[in-house]
Amino acid sequence: MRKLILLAALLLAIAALGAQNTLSLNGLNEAQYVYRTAQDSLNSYFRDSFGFNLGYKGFSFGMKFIAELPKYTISQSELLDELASERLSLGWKELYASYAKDAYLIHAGTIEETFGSGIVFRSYRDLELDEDYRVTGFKFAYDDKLRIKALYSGFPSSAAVGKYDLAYGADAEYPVLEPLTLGASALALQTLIGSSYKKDDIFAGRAKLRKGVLEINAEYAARDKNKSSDNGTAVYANALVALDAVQFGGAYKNYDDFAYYDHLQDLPLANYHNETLADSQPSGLDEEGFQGWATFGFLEDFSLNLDYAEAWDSNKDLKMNDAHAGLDWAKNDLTATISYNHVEKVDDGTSHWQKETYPSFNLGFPAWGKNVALSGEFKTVEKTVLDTDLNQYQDISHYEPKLQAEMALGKLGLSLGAQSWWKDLSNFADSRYWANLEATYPVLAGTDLIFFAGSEAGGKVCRNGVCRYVAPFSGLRLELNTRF
Amino acid sequence: MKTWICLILMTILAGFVFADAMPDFRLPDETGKNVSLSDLLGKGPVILDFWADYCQPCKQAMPYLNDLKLKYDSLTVVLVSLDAPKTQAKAKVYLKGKDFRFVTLFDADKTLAKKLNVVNPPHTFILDKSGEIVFSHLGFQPGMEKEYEKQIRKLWGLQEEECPACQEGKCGQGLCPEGGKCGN
Repeated sequence: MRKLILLAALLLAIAALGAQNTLSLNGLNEAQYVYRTAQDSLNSYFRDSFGFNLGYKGFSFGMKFIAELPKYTISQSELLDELASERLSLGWKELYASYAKDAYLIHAGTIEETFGSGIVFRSYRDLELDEDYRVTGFKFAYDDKLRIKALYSGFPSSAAVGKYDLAYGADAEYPVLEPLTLGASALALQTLIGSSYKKDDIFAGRAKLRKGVLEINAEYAARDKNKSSDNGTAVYANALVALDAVQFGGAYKNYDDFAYYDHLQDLPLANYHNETLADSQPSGLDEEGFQGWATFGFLEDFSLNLDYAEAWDSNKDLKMNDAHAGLDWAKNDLTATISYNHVEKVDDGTSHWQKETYPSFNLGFPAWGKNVALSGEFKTVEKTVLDTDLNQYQDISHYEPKLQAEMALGKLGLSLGAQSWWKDLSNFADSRYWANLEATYPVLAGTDLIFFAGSEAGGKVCRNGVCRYVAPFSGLRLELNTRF
Repeated sequence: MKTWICLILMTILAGFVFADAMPDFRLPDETGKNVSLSDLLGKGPVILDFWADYCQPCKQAMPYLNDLKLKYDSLTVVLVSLDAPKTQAKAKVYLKGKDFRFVTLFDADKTLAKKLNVVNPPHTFILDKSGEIVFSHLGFQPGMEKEYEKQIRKLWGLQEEECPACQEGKCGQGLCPEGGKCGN
């Protein structure tokens, strides 16, 4: 009884603090029940993610616990019928505490941080690839006119289970003149390769100029690999001119041996679709390229966007180009967007060529007293592959059409989607199809119920007004998401 | 058993009296200048909307949010971009081309998003003059802006606007074609 009284007193004390409006609690619980239509002993399972942030004055404490039983990734190749037991995953995926007062910040735990544009250092979660590139450690920051960050951290080694690699460094930035800001970064990476640690020292400088309608950013970085003459450099620059109805700009990149052993960087790729130069090599190894874009607003309701980029390696064996043209129109409750997208990659060394083109559209209009959204795209993929039986290269192609319709009936959101993979029209009946239905309903304030049935190919999905990255899936899924 | 019941009740009670204040933050705007929460408060309600350049529903919401800003001068609309540093240029170009009356901030490292458990965009918060969160909503579909306006008007002690169709006597059975009842 005494313990209960003490606990009650403690809770009331916390409540009293809360009544002073200085204690805040924000959290999110995402619970899922999943039934996969696959011959899998784990085809019926639960997933839960519970995270919260507690704040009191300048102090902040956050935790996130995720149980994925099992864990499926966004990668298509992970759609196995029978999962290995190591795919079960549960544990604390995020844990941190920080204190901020005025311009000072001290942080310990899971760190998400960027130096400059991300060329030198970025600790982050890649939602698109469902990979976690975050480090854990300590960070100090001073953020006023002078901005300084310093961190010391570790992260699991990709070379050896149970071992850790190190990343530590600092970044500073200062507006030396009113339109000109200069910055510098220094980073050291200790990466376990084989049985010993390899050390990389990276130093970078950057400049940002903002004057009237002109904005220019430029960054240069040099990588000194310890006990190796194979060092690297990275240059990235972009410029933007923003006039009233017209904007245009460009970007340039040049990366030479600047791909880290671990993914603690996020190199700007200087193209609209964030495509790598080649699927066969990591970004930053050997590439140079440029990008140009322009946006025109006209007739009050229209906007035209044009973007073109090219990239190549030093031998000119690898080449790629990337293009986008889009037209937006919006008037009252009517919206329309049509676009054309093109990505082409060539590898002369392996005689590989691939081209993807996809026109797409998004429409929003009122119908039957409700707001309806329609979207679709028709992707054509062409590539050259080596036929091992005939021992010669052949051009092959396939089509990936996609269509989605959404409507809100009061608080109930409904979405119908269909996607396909056709080799050609003669294989229409034998092709792959994905069809799905999703319904969302806010059962309480801050609590949404989401029901999904059908199959989807995975990737980035915007449905019922929300965008997220999903894994390939076939079956039923019931989600209850509570925000508090 | 009694102990557990008391414990649960006290926890629930404590949960209800936790403040729902917007956490303090300092985020850079499109010029790189830091903007903190205190810079945005005091004038009137604030709509804080998390978005990303790849998010079509986010872009769909923007004209409606801009209309609210134009209609209510003391309303502040803040757009917080979740885009990675390498795609922030694209996000800036998109916003500059639209001439919206927003305060634009960038949260690439999810400093504020993590404190609010914002995972998927768009996610919208409405704050009162003192920074208390009075409403939050995940996602956007046309029609949601009416709920935002209702919440904002409530903060000013104003009643919900009468349905324009009702004013012209065009409602059937007292129901507004845009939702809600006539005579509010």
